[in-house]
Amino acid sequence: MVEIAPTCPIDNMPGVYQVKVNSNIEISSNVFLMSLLATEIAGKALPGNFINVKIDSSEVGIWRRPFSILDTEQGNIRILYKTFGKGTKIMSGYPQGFLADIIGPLGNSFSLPDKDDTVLLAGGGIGVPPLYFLSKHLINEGTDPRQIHFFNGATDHESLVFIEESAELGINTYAVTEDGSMGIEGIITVGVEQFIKGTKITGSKERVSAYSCGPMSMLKAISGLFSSHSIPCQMALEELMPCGFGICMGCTVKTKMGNDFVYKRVCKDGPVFNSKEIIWED
Amino acid sequence: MLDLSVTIAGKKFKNPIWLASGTCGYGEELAEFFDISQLGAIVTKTITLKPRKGHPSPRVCETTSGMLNAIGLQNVGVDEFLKSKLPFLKNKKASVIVNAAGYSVSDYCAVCEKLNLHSEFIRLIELNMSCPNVSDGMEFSKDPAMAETLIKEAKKVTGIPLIAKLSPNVSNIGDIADAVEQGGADAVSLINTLVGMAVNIESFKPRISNITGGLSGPAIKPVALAMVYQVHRRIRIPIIGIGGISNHKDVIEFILCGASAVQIGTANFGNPLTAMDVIEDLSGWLGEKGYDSTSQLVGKIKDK
Repeated sequence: MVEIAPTCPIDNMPGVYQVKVNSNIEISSNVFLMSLLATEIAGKALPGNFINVKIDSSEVGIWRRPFSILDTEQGNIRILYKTFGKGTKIMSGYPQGFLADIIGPLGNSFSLPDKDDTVLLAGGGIGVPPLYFLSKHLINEGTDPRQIHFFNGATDHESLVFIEESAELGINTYAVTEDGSMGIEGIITVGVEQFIKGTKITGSKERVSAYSCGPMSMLKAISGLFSSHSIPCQMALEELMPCGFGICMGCTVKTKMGNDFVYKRVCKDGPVFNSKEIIWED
Repeated sequence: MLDLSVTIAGKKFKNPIWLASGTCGYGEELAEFFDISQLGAIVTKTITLKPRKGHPSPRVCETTSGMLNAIGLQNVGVDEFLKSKLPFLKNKKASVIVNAAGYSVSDYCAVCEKLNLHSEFIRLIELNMSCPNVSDGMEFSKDPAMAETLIKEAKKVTGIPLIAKLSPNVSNIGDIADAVEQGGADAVSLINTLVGMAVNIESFKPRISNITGGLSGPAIKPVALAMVYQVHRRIRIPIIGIGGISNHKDVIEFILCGASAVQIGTANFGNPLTAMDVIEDLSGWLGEKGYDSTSQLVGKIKDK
């Protein structure tokens, strides 16, 4: 099994930018797709990176809100977000032409697999963007889309995020719904496990790389699953972020350091971590 | 001719806009956004004798016009700091103030002794006194006698001028300021964070793992101003004002209350370029009003 560490190229330095909103559309219930004219960020961003958006309103707090980059296209970047709280609700009202204050690209990025690797992606909801970005990037760099398998999980078929758009990339997409209303029935690990058992794919005999993004409980389960089949896995985490660029030490995750541990910053040392590095808490 | 420079404890700083400890790391991250040598000074994340892991998550929580933090003084320890962090700051030609903490007088002194070997580059040492003394659990910043002793002892082991960073979580900050001046402190900086708390009413759990944390941000500015004003009337050594500063107008308020310099902290999180904007806007304001330097305004509040 090849262990790969996430990377951060030297020319990936972030900046503070005022960028125009190209479009801001509700694509499904409470899920919005925003496109921003952000040439500098689009030129530098890599899969796994995120942006930190300022919400200038007395109704919300002083922190920016972080969003994973979905893709970059001709000087534009796109993000997907759910209207969870006041901040995202306010963002959902940003009209075309609005100048958004953003910092990016932030964080490290996924370490890319070899061209001939089978690529397994597992994520759902707002865990989809970094995996979608990774798929597009790999295809642009020459990976055959048929080598990529994207397991997209949700509670029901209406909550699935970007499943058609992912399929349009030509990659293998598998809907995994908890109520069975579409695709495989169960939580996302069930879908991935079925595939692994069916194909008998294993990291000890062939080249396969896995990537995942989602809530910690899901990542913990997925990490165990891939590990038991010797499949190296990188995961994009999320945490509350006062700054988003590494100065406050607020967004930490517990990681292994020899026989000991160290708290690493999700915004700067991550958000991408090797799954074996993470110390899972209950 | 406008000259933003200020002289504190015999050291000249190019301007009175400094960055607060715990809000700028050791300068590496902010150096990606701007030239950190342009800052009046950068006060490093607190260094302790041994490395500290810090507290488990959640460490932070957003509050109205501010935030709570209980990071737990996570730092690489003084030896590693001197070996791998200080060289970066040297390379960037930053004006460096090292913030140090300890859990006993000898702890603080051990750190100061090691820092003293780099006195050609470390301009000042700021003592974070909001740490409990292991012997009795009492924070150094809460007891005048302990505060005075700490400064006296630290002064014996280092020739680098000392700033005593004062805590607001006391009955009379003027008494503590007086005590550290008696102990020989070259300056005071105030305020450190206020003790605060938040609770999640769905889970019934405190929002941060340490239960209480330090409150910072715009919400604390009025408290900080009142304390700077109060301390200015008690002591003669220079004051560095800290607490909710995010623009040049805040800076002027602190200077009028008696601060010779200020530190910007939480505001860096929302905008890493805050200090650069403030330096520019401050220059503009002073020029407009016809002042040549900020020292003309220190303590000039019309309170009579």
